Amino acid sequence: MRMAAPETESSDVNDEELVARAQRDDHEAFRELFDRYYSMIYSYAYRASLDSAGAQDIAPETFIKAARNLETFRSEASFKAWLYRIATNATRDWHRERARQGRLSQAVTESWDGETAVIPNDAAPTDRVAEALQALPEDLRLAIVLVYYEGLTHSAAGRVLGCAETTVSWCIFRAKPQLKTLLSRKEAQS
Amino acid sequence: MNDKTLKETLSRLTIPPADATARGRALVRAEIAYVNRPKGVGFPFENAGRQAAMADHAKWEGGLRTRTIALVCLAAVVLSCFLFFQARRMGHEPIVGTGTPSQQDQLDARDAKLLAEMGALFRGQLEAVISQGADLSLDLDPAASAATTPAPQQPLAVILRRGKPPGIG
Repeated sequence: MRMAAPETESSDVNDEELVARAQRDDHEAFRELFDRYYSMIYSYAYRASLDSAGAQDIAPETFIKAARNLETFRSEASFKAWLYRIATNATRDWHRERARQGRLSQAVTESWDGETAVIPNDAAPTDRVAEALQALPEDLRLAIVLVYYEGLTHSAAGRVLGCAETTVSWCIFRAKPQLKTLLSRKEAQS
Repeated sequence: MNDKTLKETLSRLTIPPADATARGRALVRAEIAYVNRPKGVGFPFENAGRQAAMADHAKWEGGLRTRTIALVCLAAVVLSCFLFFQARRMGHEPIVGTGTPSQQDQLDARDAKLLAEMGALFRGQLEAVISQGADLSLDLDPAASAATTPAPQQPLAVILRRGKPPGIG
């Protein structure tokens, strides 16, 4: 199941050449890389965070980090996998920051004596698939997203996540029954 | 729900379209980061000399390691062979053989004399004289030997042990 694809396939220039040109201060080459991969990274960021605002934070952050560290990119790895790795780290940072903000918000609410109003979270997923994915632990969700949505092999997903191929296989193995149960339950409810 | 159904269900996840304004902002921020990126950190042709030197050093280290391992293996083989042959010599060579040639001749002469004496004593019966150990000593009691003289047809093997047994002389 392959859902993400580079935005523009019209250009015949491969990624390695574009990166090499961008490393030599070719502004157009960098812009071409951005155009080619923004949608892919945005989709990945949304699936990994299940939050549209989160995806709009993670995707630019990924390209900013990629631009800053462009000189360190080596052509032994594919540029796409390199971007996935940066996006994964940005997603983890985003989750950590959100958890920190949640704790802070809870502390403020607890110390507040006055009335509180519940503000509905518009960004919360209403999709049952998104709800099921959100119920998964972060590592399992990232493994499912990389393998099922982005079409990476377990080995490639392991390189992106910074773990062994067997760990990815184990994550998928653990995530599948949980997803099946959650989705079946939600299907029965609807 | 089987795996195929799970994949189909997962594929129904809808992704909200990327906001064009947000995309434009992202491009601007990325371009600013690109323009201001630290340069010369890993430019392909920079530090080429250093990288080549490091590669040479790594190669040299690898070669040294291989040579050291080979040398250690060779030394171990030589030592093993030496110990093996030494053990064989210790196990099989008679102790008398360790003497000087003149001592060996003397011992041979003594053995020959003893063999002749034993041959005379057990005439026609002596099959073999087997000597073991060093310092041959033969104390024969003529009376006892006469009393225990076997029948002429009986084959006889006499074993002479070098060294005096306890209780004699």
